[in-house]
Amino acid sequence: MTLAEALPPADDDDDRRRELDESFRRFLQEQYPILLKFLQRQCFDTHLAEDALHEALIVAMGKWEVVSTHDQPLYWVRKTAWHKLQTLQSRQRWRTQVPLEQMPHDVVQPVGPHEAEAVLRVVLSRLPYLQRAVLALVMEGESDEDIARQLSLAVSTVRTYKCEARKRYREMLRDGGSA
Amino acid sequence: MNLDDLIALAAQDIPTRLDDVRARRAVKLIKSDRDRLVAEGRQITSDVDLHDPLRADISEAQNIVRAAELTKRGAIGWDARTRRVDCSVEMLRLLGLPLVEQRRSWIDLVRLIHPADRVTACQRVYEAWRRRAPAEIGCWLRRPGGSAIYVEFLVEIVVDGRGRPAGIVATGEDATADFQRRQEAERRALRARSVQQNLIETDPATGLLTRRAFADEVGRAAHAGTGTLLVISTPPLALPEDEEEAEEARLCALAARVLRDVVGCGTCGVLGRYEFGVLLPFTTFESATAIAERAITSLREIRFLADRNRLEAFGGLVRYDYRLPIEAIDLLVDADSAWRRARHEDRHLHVLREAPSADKRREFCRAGIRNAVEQNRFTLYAQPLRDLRLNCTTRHEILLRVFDDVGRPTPPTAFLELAEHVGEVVAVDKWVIDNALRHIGGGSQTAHYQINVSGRSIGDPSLLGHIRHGVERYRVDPRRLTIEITETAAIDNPTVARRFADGLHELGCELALDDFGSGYTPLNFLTKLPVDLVKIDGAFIQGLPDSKPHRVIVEHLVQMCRELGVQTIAEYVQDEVTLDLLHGYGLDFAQGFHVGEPSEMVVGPRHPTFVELEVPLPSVAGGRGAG
Repeated sequence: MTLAEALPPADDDDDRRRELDESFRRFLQEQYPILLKFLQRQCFDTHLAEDALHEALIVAMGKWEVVSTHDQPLYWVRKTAWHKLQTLQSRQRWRTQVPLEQMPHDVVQPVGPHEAEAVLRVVLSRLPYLQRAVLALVMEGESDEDIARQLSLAVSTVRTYKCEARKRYREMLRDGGSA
Repeated sequence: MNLDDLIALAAQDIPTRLDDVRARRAVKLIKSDRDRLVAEGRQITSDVDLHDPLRADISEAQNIVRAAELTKRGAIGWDARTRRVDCSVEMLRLLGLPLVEQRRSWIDLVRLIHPADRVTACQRVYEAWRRRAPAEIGCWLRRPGGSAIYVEFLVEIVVDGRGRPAGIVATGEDATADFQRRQEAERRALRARSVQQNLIETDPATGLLTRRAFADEVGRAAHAGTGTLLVISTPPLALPEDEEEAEEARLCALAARVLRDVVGCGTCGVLGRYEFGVLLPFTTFESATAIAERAITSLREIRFLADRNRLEAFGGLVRYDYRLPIEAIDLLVDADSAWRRARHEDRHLHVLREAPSADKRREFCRAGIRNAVEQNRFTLYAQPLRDLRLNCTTRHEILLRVFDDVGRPTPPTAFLELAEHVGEVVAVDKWVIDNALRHIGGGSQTAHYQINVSGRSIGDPSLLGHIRHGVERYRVDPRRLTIEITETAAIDNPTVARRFADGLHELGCELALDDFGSGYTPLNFLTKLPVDLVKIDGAFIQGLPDSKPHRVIVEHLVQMCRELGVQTIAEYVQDEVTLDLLHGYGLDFAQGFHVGEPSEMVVGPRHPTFVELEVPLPSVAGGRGAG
């Protein structure tokens, strides 16, 4: 990527700008719920998740010309938002703390997507934050390599974390936990 | 439900119109926020990496290091092929190393780890490499300047294009504050478990406050406001000898319940055997009299319920006022003399309208105590002490018992407390020394005896001479004698105490400290006084198996004493489990009901005929000296 690519064209091309805005709007329309859900699965504080996402999206909007050329703009935005969330959390020292009062307590056997989501969030809340991020991406059906690239982890790490998260889930089931 | 099914079920969630609206609102919001930030001239895009995560033009290791830089984490990379170790700038800063390119080896970095963490950390890195699995390692690092930081590393194994392990990348950040916060939380949790939860001590049989706790309440009330103190005595009219103990406990519990029902708002305490105190704050004589009459009437009704074992009930009422400062013990003495007056005059209640002056009260108490000594209203008990190494009884502690109103020997806690308070305890101690030595001299002198002496008495210059005289007169082997100092709080002059102790040693006797570890026994007594033996306070021994804090304290007290050449005794040993624990801690002696109950030593003339005294001699059940 050269500097010229990163900067907007010298002559103010209104059409191009409008086109970019429109593409960003379309991207958001499609991906906003997915992005927000991913972040909510990470931190369980809806407001903090929204804040992180908005910060990341503001950056993305500025860099949309480059980002939109990526194979998967979603990945870049998600990665950036995840980093933003970590910064916000470490600023609030919440990384290790999950406000448990926001968690549902006993969802015995989920019957619909909403209940399943609630159970998943309980499961996620009991995982260390990196495993949580890995599992949340697994839920979106991504490959180990893609997960590793997005979270900047080694592929072997992603594989191990996947196993550990599954193990933890089985332990929770066995202990008669809320799952 | 397994995890995959759960994920599949959650994925069935289809976006609703609400999501649509939310997204549209988000677009607007982001646009306006961005415009605002741009207008304010803020830097928005400084800390992001524009690289496309999916473009495979950088290696796995590079990707990790790059992300670490962005998030201000330090990174160390090791390439398996070149055996090169690289530290990122952030990592160098974290480690406190100069920010220059230089060839480093693992050894250099490992040396920075605190020796306590070094082996574990290396093992875990090796394990990660072997299993090709990440490891999270937290360790203390020593920086060249001497300061230390706690760093949490994520050690990852990277692979080459063909999936073979190619190197190790460790990213880490300073987690000292987090670590300390965690430690502090753990410390607080531990402290919360190791500190006594409830400050108020209640008598287990009746549920009322113990004598000491009640006296504290009285003292607090007497300094804070006005009110009245009611002391009720409920002596049984007749008690069949055979079922004394059980019946007694039953009656006391019953009386306590009745009292609590009637008094309600007041604070009740057990002052002694058949003696209860009720604190009635913010009452006058008039309002308190009504309550007292009601309580006494209810108590007297009990005697008609049972087919035998009738109770009497007499009450004494006194007033306190913060403007006329009075000590709790004096107030209790006044109330005590008031109920005795009621009994003497055969009335329910005596209201002490005019409290005696301090001097008069004191003289009155002293005369009473001297009387008790002259009339031999005491007897001596001996309780065995087991040598835990030999596992047999080699010593006896001689205990004082005071005859109560019905001529039964009772532990002397309250009596001694009063004697200390009015400064008449020397007379009692001398009586004990005389009679104990006479008894010991009359026996075979094969065991060792311990005699209690108050900390106040050792300040009396004649006491040492008294002991010497007694030892010579009754031909007692002084090497088989230990003087145990009780009420160490009363040792007000360390120099005098030291002289007394030296005098005892010259004589050949040993010196012991009672109630060690509680009350007012400073640790420096162990270095200032030539103590041979300390008795660890029974409060630590009771419930020892269930209390980790007590076990820790006892274990380390014993260890400390042993290293100073001081022997240790545990009192109040009540079961085999406790005895085993004490044996394990290396205590020298054990005492308590489980080891042996106190039994009477026959001393001089048997029980004198009971003389009614208008003198407060509070009789007390339980408490010190019961072993």
